Amino acid sequence: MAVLVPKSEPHANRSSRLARLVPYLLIAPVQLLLLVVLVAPSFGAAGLAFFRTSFGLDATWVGLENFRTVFADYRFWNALWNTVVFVNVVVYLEIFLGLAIAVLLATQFRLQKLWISVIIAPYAVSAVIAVLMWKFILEPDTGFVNYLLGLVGIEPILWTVIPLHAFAVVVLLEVWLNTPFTFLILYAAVMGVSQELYEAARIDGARGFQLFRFITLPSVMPAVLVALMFRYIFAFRTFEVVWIMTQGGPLGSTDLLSIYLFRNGFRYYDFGIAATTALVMVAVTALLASVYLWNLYRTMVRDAR
Amino acid sequence: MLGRRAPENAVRWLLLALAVFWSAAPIVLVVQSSFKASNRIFEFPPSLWFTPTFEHYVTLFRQWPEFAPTLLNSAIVTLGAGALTLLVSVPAAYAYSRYRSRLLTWSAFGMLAVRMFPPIVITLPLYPVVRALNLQDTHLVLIILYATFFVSLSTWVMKAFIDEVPLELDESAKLDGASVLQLLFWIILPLSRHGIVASVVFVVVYAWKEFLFAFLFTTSAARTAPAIISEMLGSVTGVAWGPLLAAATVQLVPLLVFVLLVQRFLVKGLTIGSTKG
Amino acid sequence: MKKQIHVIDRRQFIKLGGTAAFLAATGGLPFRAFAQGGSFVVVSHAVHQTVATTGDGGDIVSPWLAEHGIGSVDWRTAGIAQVHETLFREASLNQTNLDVGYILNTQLFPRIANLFEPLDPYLASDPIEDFEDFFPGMRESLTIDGQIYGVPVRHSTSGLHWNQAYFEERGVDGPPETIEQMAEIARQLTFTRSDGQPVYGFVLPGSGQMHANTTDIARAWNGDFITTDYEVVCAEPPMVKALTMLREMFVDGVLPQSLISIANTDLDTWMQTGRAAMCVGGMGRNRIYNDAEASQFPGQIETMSIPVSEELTGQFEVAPVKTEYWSLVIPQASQQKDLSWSFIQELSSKDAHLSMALNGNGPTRASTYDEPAFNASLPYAEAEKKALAVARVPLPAFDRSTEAADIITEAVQSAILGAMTPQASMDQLAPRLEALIRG
Repeated sequence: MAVLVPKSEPHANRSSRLARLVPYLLIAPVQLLLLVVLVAPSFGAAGLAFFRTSFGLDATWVGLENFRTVFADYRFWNALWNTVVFVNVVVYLEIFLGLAIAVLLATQFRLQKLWISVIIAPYAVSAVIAVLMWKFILEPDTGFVNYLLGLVGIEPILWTVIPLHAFAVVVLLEVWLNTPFTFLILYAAVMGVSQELYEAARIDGARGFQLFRFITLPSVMPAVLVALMFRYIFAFRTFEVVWIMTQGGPLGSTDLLSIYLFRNGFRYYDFGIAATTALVMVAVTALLASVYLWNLYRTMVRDAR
Repeated sequence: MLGRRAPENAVRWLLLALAVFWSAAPIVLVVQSSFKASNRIFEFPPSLWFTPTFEHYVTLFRQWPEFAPTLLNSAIVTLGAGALTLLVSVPAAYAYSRYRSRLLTWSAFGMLAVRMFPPIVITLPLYPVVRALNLQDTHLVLIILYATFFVSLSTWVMKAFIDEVPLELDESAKLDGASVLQLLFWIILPLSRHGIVASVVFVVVYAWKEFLFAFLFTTSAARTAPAIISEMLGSVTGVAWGPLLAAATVQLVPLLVFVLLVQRFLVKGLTIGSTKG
Repeated sequence: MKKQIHVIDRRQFIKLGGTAAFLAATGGLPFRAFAQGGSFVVVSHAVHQTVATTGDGGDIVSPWLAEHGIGSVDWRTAGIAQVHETLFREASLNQTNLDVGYILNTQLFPRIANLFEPLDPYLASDPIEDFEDFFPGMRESLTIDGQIYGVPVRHSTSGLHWNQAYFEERGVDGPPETIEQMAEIARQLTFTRSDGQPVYGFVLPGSGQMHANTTDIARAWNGDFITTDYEVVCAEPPMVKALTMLREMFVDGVLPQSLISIANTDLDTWMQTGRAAMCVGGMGRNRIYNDAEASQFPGQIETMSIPVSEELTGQFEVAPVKTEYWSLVIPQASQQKDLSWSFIQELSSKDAHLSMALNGNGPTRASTYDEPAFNASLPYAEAEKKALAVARVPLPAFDRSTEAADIITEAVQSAILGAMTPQASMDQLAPRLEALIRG
């Protein structure tokens, strides 16, 4: 009985040992990169939270004192509250807009590709440019929006001075920048809804909004939830737009957790406090992602036996 | 889906016009205004017809000579990050596609879970480390950081594309005596080259746009465009809109063109990246 | 049989080609910019570069550059907060190409001094002429644990700047003799010009630095946020009176609505274009406001000491305004420290201080005030001398003073905008400041 032996394997044992290592060698670069740049520093950051450390100051162990300081800091709670409000407003606006535009575009227009390109254009805009853009448009004295508002007799938007206006403006910017993301996910989902379902419903006499409510919406709900979760996690991290535009002002009205972290770490150089805030952020992120992570664990690890 | 009777049709197009206006108007306004003479930049309504002038671009490069090098830095860092991402995620993607084991599954889970970390968190410990390694103000530090945050997604997207390549090709290549690397490079990659684009697209966009790491870890030699533009925005002597708009246009347009070109890869990548995981 | 293999993706090729085209189009400009080395890097506020290089006193840096064969000084200028952030970051590196930094007195607290070179060795081996000539108070606060860490180079003592042309146009008798009079005059000077430009009687930059700007007004009542003995007195009557006055001016439209978005440096434009009739700030600004090229009112902006309040008339001749001073420091991480010291020496000579003073600087050498050229050229020399005699720093230096400045700014903004009454805002602020001082 002949046994098919591969030509290129004269040293069977050594090769098969190597062969078993192959996949691990292949994933080594990725895992190494992640470990060295992400995981290890994250533990480092966690550790920093228990020290008092700054420029010109050697690290000294302070136990839970940083936590006490942070939780006693009114600016922390202000930032936390602002973040909660901000994230919720932004995310639901983005989902709403993304879904609305997705449904609209699903009706197929002439030059469809062109319109889709336009809708996702904001994705190419960096935070700095977006701030520049909207600062230009919202220039208090000479900008277009205030001119228009003046024509209609409405008070101008003074986002540098009025806290509520500032908050609204950063919300606007975040939504503008991120709607392409939700749009793309939801568009794919809407397009994936089977036509037969619509036909069947139409035969039953359903029209327009009813079709949306009873066919489209339930069918895309999984995608909506996915988009929702991802946007929650990413909106929570918002930093660049707010930092460049308002630095958390005026009067701390746009101060977010990320801004609070940055300011304590890189303006006051109090790395211990900043690290404590970082831990809080990671904890909240883990909470927000817990559903995703649990699902991931189930499908990948537990059920993949 | 919806009926196409005339009034409904008109409403559709009106809504589309609104959506298009919302997305495009700010961009068009900025690009257009960068070519307008200073005294016409703020005129309302913004006229569509005007004699374009390049004066702001000239002023930009004359008065801010530090701007042009930052564009090059952005380009270097973007290319580098894309290359590094590909370099590490393609082999990994192949491994996850073709092999199975407990360890692999756990590592994949870890890789995807780690995506959840807010980038700002690692700036704190990395700050002194980067300085100690003398990587402060180098392209390398940004390349590594950018790549790290996208290798997970990149690997996952690439894996989905490699999954499409039939296993038989692997087998026949191995029978022909090919090593794994040869197999990867000559067989798998060419057949999944759309995957390459789809997996690298996100890190390219991110690298060109990114601000936080560039701001913290570079100062002059490796400063990227977003960081320098933010300095110009907060400039001490009041805002000079003309050159600023020119700078915005220069930074924005290349990426805009790129995004439009790779549109369908974005969609593919997003769908893969968000389903199941 | 091999399939057609693409070694390099089309898109990658486009990217590479694009870079090459970019380089060709810019004539390799980016690389040329990189090649420009061998200069001397200084981080400072824009005003430091101005007083060292332009004005009636001439350019004192060029001769030094020629002497040492350096092309140019790379002045990295930015706002006050930004300057310090950059300075500290650079100074905390292992190596930095930053050679000299300018640091404000409030920022040189003991912990941060560790980042800079103690200058005693340099003073011993290569001294600065007549070092005792520098104001003793400044030298003292720069000395930590017996070592001196900086050389004072500029003081900025506040005064009241007013637009004489507007006074005449509106038939107002000036200048004000008490702070209350000033507020009254400010009301009269709030009007719309014939060309449609609104003029505000008084402008105070409200975006950041309010711990300093507000103190100027509060000193008319000898008020403070924190005394030099680290006592928190922000909720006491003097500061509250000052804030109440500002709040009333804001409500009456005497202060611009956009107050909290006006930065210190924006003020230059406001005075030069005549959008503001009066302001307070460093007396040296007089030169900038009267600049023949940039100002619409050259030679018509006058500067005087800030008047005291009615109740303090007799106790003080002029308000004990705030004075802040900048010092030159050398980061320990600098690469060419001997050159850095040489630069500092150059800027610290008696001649240099006179030149810089003629350029609008506030000299930190006592002898400069005796120079006839100085007294003759500067209309406010006398006023400045008087103010300096009683002036004090706005905030003492301590570890968390940056954060203190931030929350003071927010509290003041809150009071002026009306989110809280001045007293309530200060009552809320006081315990917070105490917590920061305790550390």
